[in-house]
Amino acid sequence: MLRFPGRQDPLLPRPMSLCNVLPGRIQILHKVVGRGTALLAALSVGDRIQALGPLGRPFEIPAPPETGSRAVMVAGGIGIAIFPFLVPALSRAGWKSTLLFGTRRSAELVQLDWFRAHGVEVRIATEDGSAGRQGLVTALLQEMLAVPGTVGMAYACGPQPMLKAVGNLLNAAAVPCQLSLEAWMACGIGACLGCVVKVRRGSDFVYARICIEGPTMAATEVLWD
Amino acid sequence: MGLKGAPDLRVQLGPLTLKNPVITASGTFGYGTEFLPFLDLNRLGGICVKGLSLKPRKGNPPPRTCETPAGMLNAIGLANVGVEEFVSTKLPALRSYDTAVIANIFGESLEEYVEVARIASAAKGVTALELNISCPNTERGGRVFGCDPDATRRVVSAVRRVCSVPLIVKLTPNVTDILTIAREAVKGGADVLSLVNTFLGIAVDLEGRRLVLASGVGGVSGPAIKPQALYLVYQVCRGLKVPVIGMGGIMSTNDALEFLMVGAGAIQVGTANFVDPASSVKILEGIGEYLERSQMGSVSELVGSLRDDGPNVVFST
Repeated sequence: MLRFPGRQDPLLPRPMSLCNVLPGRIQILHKVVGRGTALLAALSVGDRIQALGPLGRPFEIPAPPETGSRAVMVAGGIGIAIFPFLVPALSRAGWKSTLLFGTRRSAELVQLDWFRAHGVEVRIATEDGSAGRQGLVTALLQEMLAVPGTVGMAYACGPQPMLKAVGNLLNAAAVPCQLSLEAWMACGIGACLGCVVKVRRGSDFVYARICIEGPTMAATEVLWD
Repeated sequence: MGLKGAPDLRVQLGPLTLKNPVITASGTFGYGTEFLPFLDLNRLGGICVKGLSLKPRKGNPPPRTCETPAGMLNAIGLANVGVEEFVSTKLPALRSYDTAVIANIFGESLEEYVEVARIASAAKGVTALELNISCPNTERGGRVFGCDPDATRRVVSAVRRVCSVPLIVKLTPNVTDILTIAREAVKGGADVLSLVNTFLGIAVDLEGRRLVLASGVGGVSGPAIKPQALYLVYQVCRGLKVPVIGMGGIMSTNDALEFLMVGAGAIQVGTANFVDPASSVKILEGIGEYLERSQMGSVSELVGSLRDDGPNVVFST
């Protein structure tokens, strides 16, 4: 959770994911969507900010199967921001990785060289067709799923409709998929009960807190309205 | 305290003794354990747990919270594990800390309030009850108990009969005249009043052309409500002789001092816990430092020490 010391407006800290961690520094990649992110974008080197973390449950990385199926990262828009931090962990665990990255236009396709330089196969889709395949990132996923055994594990991050569509595809194909969820959040530490999502509990549901019971959750658990 | 020269932070609110005047507000501190990584629970004067109902409640669908100017809106929907689950699974850990455990309770009918109060006040480790009367009475057309003087008196006196520990009644600010409600709560048997709960408000999503919160209306809290909350605390402290716990927008030591100076015997820290989880302890330390600097030997020297020669701003029917 990031906040500006001494400010009462905007009041609440902003939840941000780690993009990458380098010696002596943490990288955060974000889009300007509101007042908090605008303030972040206006910071200069030397300005001070408060950070509380790390918080929440990280992605689980099982051992890769013998079959050679790949770990697939599915990113929509600014959802790309969480994946650089995941790449070395996947590689240490022995996975071969593919990144499926969909954006509205080619200008939003950030970090591509970084992923390729780290041995990740990159496939792109843009809604306006300005780069890669024209259409949604789900089409790229469907292509991979058409060859059974290609996708061993998936991780997804992006807008809610994308997470829902990706989750449904992978659940139907019985491929394990973890989603990185986000929500309006006040505290980030499990106290306010604001950031909930419906999660399956037998034939019923409970509201789980995305901040500490997530933000990563199995796609089979989340109940979308 | 015991150290020579260190101020005495103990406070006495009617029958309720607290080791210091800083309490964390219900709904902002879970059941306490969420904050263990951030502060030492043993330092707090008290913890008001998340409001407890007779049966567990899932709460409202999201979105449940959003930010507002210098504040936030919440419509969590009183989600809680239920009083029985609290007593068996949450309370044992809480009572191991050297802090007052205050069970905040509510019901949807008079009978429910009484049943929850009976269970909570008998539970080992519960120091006091805090009665949340900002709830609609579902048996009487959904009118909020705490907005109606008669309903206030009736629910407080019904709870009083089964409550063997100090009884705090938490007032809603969404009323025409808080003194009328406060008087009825005292008549019903409240030992202490705590005020204020959140102010009703809404937020609009311009693009979607709908209310932001799934439930529509929520409660506003944070710095934006401090002047209003402070005035209401001032009114009750000047108008009645009952001990008062003040809250509403307390983010810093100075905010807490203002509430104490107008007459609150203790304060609650709420939304500040979301902004900085260690807020309550920082405020406690600040109060101690202020008393030392001002050469006051105890909190009671500060309470109600606002000068008498100002304008009289208590308007009551």
